[in-house]
Amino acid sequence: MDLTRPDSAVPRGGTVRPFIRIEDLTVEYRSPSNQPLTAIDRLNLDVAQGEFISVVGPSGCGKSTLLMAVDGLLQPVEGRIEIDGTPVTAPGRDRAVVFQEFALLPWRTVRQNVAFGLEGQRMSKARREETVSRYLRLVGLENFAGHYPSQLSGGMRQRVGIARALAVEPQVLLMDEPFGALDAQTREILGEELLRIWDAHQRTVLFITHDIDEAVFLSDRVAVMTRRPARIKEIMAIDLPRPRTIEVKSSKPFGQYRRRIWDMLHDEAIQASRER
Amino acid sequence: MRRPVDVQNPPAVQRARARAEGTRRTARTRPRDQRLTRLWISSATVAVAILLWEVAARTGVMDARFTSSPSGVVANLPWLVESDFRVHAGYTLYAITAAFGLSLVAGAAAGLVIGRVRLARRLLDPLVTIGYTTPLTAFIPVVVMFLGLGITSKIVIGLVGGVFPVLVNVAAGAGTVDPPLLRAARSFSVGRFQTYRHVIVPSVLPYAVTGARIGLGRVLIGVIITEMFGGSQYGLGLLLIRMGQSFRTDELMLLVLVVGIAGTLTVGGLRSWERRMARWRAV
Repeated sequence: MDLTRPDSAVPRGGTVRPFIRIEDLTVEYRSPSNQPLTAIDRLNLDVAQGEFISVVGPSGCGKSTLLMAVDGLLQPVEGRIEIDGTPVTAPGRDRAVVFQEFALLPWRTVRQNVAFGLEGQRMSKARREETVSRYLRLVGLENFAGHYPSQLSGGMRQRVGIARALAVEPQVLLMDEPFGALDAQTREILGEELLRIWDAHQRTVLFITHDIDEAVFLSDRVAVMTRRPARIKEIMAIDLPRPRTIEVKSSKPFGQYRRRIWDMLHDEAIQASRER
Repeated sequence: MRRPVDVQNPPAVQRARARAEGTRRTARTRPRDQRLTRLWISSATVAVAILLWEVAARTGVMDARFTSSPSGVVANLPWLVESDFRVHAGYTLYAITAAFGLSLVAGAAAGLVIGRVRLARRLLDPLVTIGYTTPLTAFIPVVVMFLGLGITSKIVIGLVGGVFPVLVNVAAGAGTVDPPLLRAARSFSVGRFQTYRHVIVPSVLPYAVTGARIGLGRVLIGVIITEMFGGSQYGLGLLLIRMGQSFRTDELMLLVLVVGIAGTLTVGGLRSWERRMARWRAV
């Protein structure tokens, strides 16, 4: 057991400084008709070190926008994001993203893809190869190192995406609906695998999903977003024992969490679909 | 943007399964067998065509004075060595190489800019469309007027023919680089130059080869037609016209065959390179 992991309580106030601090974050972008559109409106969220937090919300509410802002790919018009006390201004080595679309280079082998994030770093070739091999083993792809992405199934491709992100050894793992393009079974298997990796590596994870089951199963806390312009509507601490296995999904508390989050989401989703 | 992925039974898994079951050899040799069969068929077609040509010339169905005959062509093979054919061919080859090389460099550079920079695309799109759609021959009088009848005119016409296919294809490739790949490069702090090197250029390469293949064909036409246009002192185009005008049909047909075979081989070579380059693409 790891005693440094925060318990389920919201890590706000007290003496502990949050690891990720998002303060009054406002993000705008221009619609195709060049109208400024507020995607995120004064959003606040604190995340503790080593915490697994999921963000759920109605589709199109700006979940991915939030993730891109934390990665530094989008500049907020207002507010700030700090990681371990340092303001985020651009993508950095302390964060790595797992993309929904996998975003693998099709002309590179699995091994070369995992090395992609390491190439800009000053490290010896031997060390880089060693790091790549370690993370290939971690995601169970050591026997596919020479394959091209087109030769892999969707689930295996996303394992490559996860290994590529972990290989840069980021403090924060940003996951943008990483299992969104996969079928239900693959999704479940990869979810369990992700928990195993997270248990072993203790990284802070910000996980975007629209799948409530997935969010409850994986997370310490689930943040529910409102429809656009998005804010955090409510945060639910998931007090289920770890390590978790698939069986926990059929437990009574799991059902209750799911129900309550679904209720929170329901109104937003309905209103959002009416406004479209 | 979500792309559906057939996770249930993707072709890669089917292939992997086939491999695991030891059926790899058949799966691998079949395409080669097919290629061999195709080669046989096309060789047979050519053989039959040559035979018909010979028969037609001998029986007088076609007047051999105008059409020559395969045996006449073969009998004239030494002419290629004895005459000044080599000098003419050298000039043409030089013009083609120069025009094709310039087309590749200029087309790739301009194509990258047009594909990646919206302002450049807006400014240059009309010019590119005009340049690509105007018949190549229409440029010849203009270019010859400016540059005279030397080798420069041939190279310029070849360049006008070759540069646009390269440019248009490279621009199409550069404009359609998968956005998530670019986002991943930014997210992993890959620098601008490295992003070009590792993401954009590899994405564009298959398009560039397609452009090069189409461009090479147009360079060949441009150079030889300009040589035919007259005044030029050397070149296969000039030689073709001369042989035609003096009714030396055996030599004329020999030249046509030489040019045709050379074009087929180079363009065919580019085509097979094109296919090999697409190896990593989903089949």
